Amino acid sequence: MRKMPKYTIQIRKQAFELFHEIGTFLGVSKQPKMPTVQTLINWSREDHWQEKLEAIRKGIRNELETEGLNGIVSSDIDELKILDRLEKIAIDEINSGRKIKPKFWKDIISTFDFTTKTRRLIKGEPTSREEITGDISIVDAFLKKSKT
Amino acid sequence: MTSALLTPSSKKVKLEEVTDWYLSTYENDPLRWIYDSINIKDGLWEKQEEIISSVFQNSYTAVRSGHSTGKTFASALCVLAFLYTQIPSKVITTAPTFRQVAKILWRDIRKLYTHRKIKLGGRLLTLELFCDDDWFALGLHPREYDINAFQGYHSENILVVLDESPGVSSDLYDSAISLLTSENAHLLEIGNPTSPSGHFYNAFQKNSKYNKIHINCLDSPNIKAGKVIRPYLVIQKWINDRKDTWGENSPLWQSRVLGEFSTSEENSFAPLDWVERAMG
Repeated sequence: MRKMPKYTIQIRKQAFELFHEIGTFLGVSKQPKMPTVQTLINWSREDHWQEKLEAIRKGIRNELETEGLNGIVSSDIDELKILDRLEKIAIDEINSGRKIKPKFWKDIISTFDFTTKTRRLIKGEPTSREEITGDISIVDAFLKKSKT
Repeated sequence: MTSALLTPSSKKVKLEEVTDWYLSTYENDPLRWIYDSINIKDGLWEKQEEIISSVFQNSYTAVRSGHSTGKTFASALCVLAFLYTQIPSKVITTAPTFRQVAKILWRDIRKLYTHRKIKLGGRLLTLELFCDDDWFALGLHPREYDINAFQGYHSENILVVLDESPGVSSDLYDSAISLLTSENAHLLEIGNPTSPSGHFYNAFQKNSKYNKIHINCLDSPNIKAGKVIRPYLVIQKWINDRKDTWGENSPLWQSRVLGEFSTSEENSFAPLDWVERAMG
C-alpha cells in the first residue's frame, strides 16, 4: 500500500505563503499545521522559495517603477509588502469575524487610514493635502496657500 | 479646469491646483477676471476696456475725457482687478479732495465689490479693502499724501490711481511717482482736461511715456446709438443742453464734452480748474 504524504501540496503552498509573510522558517514552523524547521528548509530547496520570493519582489519593483517610484529602496518595498499583508489579514479577519470584531466602523477606518498614510509616506507621496471647496474666497485661498 | 473659486460647489479640489489655475488664467487677463468675477449689467464699452487693458500693459496710463463716460467706473474695476489678480499687491488711490476720494471712486469700488459673482474675500471698509498686511487697496485722504506718508506703500505689485488728476497737486503727483519703483508698478491718471499745464497736461504731450487715452462724449454709446442704452452714461439731452449753454467754442465744451484741453486759456481771466476749485 502506497504511503500517504504527511503534508499535502496545499500545506506546502501555505507554508510558502507564510514564509513570504513572516520571513523566517522558525516563525512559520510555529504556525498551526506547519512542519518543523528542517522540513521547511527542505521544501524551500525543493520548491525554490528564494527564487520565487525574488520574482515576487521584482514584480513589485516593476510595478513601482511604472508608477514612477524608481527611487524607492528595497527596504521600502519590504515595508510596503508588510502593509499590503497587514491590510489583507485585517480584511480576511473582519470578513471571517473570527479574531477582529470591531465595535465601531471608525476603528476599521482608522486602521486603513494608518496603512494608507504609511504607504504614502514610504512612497514619498504627501499624506495630507489642502483641499478647498467653492465656499472659500480668493483671499483665503491665497493666504492659506502662502502658509503651507 | 474650472476654478472652485468661480463655481461654488461642494466638490473638493486641491488648493494649489486652484490658485495656479487662477493666476495662469487671470494674472494677465484683467478683462476676463472682471467678466468672470463682477456682475456688470450691460458689460463695458470699448473705451472702458481700453483703459483697463492699458493699465495692466503699461506703466503709465493717462485718460482725458468728457463728462459721464464711465471712466471712474473703469478705474474702480482696475482697482479690484489689480488687487485680485496681482497677488499680493497694493493699490493706492487718491483725488484732490477727500469728498472725491470717498464719494466718487470708492463709492464705485464698494458698489462693485457688493456686485461680485464670486467670493473675493478681504475686508471692505469705507476707504480700504484689506486682504493682508501687504495686500490691500487704500483710498488716501489728500492730507495724508506727502512723501513720508508714502514710504510704507512700496510693493512689488503696485497700482496708483489719481482720480480727477488735473486737480492733484504736483507734490501729490511726485509722491505717487515715488512709489513706482518696481517692475510691476502702474500709474493711472484720469480726469477732465481742465488745465493746459501741469502733470496731467504733460502726460499727453508727444514725448511723454504715458499711454494716452482720449474719450469724447460724442463717441459714447448713448450718443452713437441715438438712444439711451446705458442710462448711467452721458445722454444726448445733456450734450444739447451744454451746447446751448456753453457754446461749441467755449473751453467748458472743449473740456467737459470733447475731452480736449482748452486752447483759450491764454485769454481767460483764470484757468478753468482754478474757477472750478474756487466753486468747490
